[in-house]
Amino acid sequence: MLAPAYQKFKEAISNFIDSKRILTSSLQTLAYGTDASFYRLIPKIVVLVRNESEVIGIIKEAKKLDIALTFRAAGTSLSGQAISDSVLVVATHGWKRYEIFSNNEKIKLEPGIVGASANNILAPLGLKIGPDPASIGAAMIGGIVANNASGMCCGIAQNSYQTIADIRIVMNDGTVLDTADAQSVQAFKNSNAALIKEIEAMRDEIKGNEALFYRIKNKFKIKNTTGYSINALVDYEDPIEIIKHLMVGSEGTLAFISNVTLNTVTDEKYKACSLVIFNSIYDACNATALLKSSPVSAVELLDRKSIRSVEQDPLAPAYFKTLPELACALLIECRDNDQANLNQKQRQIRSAIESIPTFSEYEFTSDPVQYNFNWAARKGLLPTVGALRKNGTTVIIEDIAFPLPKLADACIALQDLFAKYQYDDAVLFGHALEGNLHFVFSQDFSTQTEIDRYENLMMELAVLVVDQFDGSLKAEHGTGRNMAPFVEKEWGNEAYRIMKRIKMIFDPKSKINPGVLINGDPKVHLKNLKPLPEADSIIDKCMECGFCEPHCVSEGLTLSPRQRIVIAREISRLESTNEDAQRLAEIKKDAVYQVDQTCATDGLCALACPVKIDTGKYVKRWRAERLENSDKKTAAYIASHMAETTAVLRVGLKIVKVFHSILGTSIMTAMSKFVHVITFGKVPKWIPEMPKGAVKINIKPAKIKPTNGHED
Amino acid sequence: MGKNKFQDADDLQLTELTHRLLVRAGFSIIYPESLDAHCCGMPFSSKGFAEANHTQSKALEADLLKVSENGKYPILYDMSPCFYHSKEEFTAPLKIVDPIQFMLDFVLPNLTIKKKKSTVTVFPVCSVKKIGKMEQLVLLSKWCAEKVTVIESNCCGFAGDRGFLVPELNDYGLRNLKDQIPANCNEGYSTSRTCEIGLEKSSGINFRSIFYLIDEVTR
Repeated sequence: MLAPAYQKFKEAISNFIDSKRILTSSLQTLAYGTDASFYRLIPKIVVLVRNESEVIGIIKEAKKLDIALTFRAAGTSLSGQAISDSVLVVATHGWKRYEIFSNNEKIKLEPGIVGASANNILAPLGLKIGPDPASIGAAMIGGIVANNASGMCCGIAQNSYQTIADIRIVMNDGTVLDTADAQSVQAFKNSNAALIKEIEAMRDEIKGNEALFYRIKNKFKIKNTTGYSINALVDYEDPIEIIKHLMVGSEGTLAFISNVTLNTVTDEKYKACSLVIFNSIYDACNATALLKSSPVSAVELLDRKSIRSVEQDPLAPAYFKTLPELACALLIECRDNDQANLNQKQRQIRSAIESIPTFSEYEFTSDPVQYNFNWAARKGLLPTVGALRKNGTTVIIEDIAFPLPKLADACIALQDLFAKYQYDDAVLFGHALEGNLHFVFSQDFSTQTEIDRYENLMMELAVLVVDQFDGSLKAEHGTGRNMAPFVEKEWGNEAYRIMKRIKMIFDPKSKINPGVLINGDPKVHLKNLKPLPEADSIIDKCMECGFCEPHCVSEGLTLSPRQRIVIAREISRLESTNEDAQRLAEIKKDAVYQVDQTCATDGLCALACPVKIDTGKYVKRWRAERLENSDKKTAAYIASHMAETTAVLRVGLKIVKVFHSILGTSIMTAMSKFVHVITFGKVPKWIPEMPKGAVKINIKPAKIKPTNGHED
Repeated sequence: MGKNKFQDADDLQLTELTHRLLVRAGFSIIYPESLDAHCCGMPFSSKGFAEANHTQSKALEADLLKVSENGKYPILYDMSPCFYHSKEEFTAPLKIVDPIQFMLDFVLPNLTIKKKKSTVTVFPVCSVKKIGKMEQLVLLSKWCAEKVTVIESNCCGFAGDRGFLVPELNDYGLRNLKDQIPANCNEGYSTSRTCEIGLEKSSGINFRSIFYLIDEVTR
């Protein structure tokens, strides 16, 4: 039962939203409420919105009833910024429109477009979008922009903050601001004079505070997604420009994003890369500093443990297996639209780092096989940890950045810290060129001892990153709930006050994605941890990243593979704890259709899965476990009498065809619907496209040798 | 399964057409004994009947091993999903070949393309993606038509017979199909008969095995 305010809210929005898109069942709220982070909140209501007027309506009704809203698209973020225990508003289906204009220099995108789809649209033009998070195959524009997500190549030059041209947002009172529309801007300035004044006041205050001004400037010289993008207040004069850039990285805590216009960037035609092995992490980091001013597109660091994860690959050089413990690799990439220029770039890169000895000779390659191996080595790191981890544990990706000159010392300090807390499976890699490092490790949250271990690690990590090296605690994954307790620690009191003021002017009652980015609870990063109980060996390694979702036929109709796994885990948890029999019964009842009947078991999900889970296989096992013995006997009978079965089907389909020709399509459709319903869906529904019966293959088996010599 | 509603009495059904096509390409064909008693097992596996699947698959494997003289001759599958299923299940050293690769490697080299079609639509079924033969499918289609539209889609949702039992899954899976087919194109091709039933229903155009296309342009 919904609490009275939520019941009222549901009734109010039912007036303008199809009730099929207002989800309140135990199964659906859990399934849709799950994101890629290791936090769990279950929304009371999930609304699948299809257009802006629905969003405006929802915002207005929620405001009347004092109900908190969280907006999300793909739910691939990692820091706990896309979950809610109130109302979750999902903007994916219905939000796929785009427009390329200004001589292909700009693309306007709705929030539900997958990043990779945007790139597919732009590829024929030799263009792409700037931001390139590793999750780009599943992450959607709304989240990419709202988190200022970035990846291997875009650095801080081509992220959403730098490439945003315009934005259209819905404020917490339903007001729309479209920065591309002069009329909308003027109307907004008139109706929100106080907000504009506050923005200008903050801008001027910072300008008058030299220490703060330069602190902000400096901190954004490396990747940073801790707190708001307050560089907007030092980089821009115009309050509308400031608002536009503050929205980037706001993690849905300030307004709803209806669409974004990004400046497109060139997608170079020719690419070459080299996996260069250095004798130590020091040498690798020093080389990175030298590479900063050379024509590189990406420099990725892989520590010794990372290399170990690919050394068994047949394409890996033999010496990978015998590399010394201190070795460290850099994956160096350069790109150009001209092959001659690309060759020139390789020479420049080589001479930039010639002062630093390498462990072995290196060559650049454009050969697709070797090129792909090099990148597969880098991209396979997360899945490797994911696949090797113990069941029941989660995968954590720390995401920190350091000023480049301090990178080498920071790497060593980090390795020591992870060793101290016995995170022995931790691998270190990252976007070295941007000072951005990722530590990936598995973490158990099922016991207090383990939670304490994580808490202590985080405490020391904050000290190391902030006090020792003046780095960013979240470089590209967003603050979320995970780093919210540390924003003030990283930024200091003055900057943090500015951030709180930003939240206050856009959302004074904290009803838009509350608890994210700004949170007064110093332990919020240790609360609402997601349980990951064992459910079935096929799915136990699932990290709930959501990479499968764009590849699933039933996603949006019923459930995605990730959501099916979430439900399977919850059933398993409830069965073992016996904590809520009614909830278990409800979920199991709905699962018949949602999990089982609408899964096509096609297995395309496995192609996108970092740990290669085929959820279709799991659903087949689910079906097998729920089969009655009588069904099994029938199947065995059919299987052992296949010849008769095919004969019967052949005749059956022919008879159906005859009836169709006599009765016509509409009567057949009506009759078949009736039969389909009265047999509880067991008799197939007839459609005009049902095939005619085939003619039996009437060729006697004969052993004749092929005449054209193709037998081998 | 037999022909679709677009196909008239003169049209050959797929098994006959395949036979003719292979003979034209210079092959003699060996059929397994008791062909009617065989099935790759996938319909059972999909429904959770693991044992029935196993029995079927093993029986097929044994028979194929026999008629191919222990793997001496290549074995053509006319349906991609059946090929994929056998590929996953079989352990014997059989040279099973999917319909696309077989046409590219064995049939096209022995036939001449006489009249290319102007425009065709091709639907890559899931098994084609899973065995990584998308490029080969496009290549094969481009041999046969000037303009090839490859449908961008997840699984069509027909899923064997699920399209009859849970038709809304198929309708949902193919909700963007019609918009992708060029207005002047009324020929669709794929490599799975069951998928074609739903494709035909959602697109309103004739969806058949790509073998028909190859047969037509080489005659």
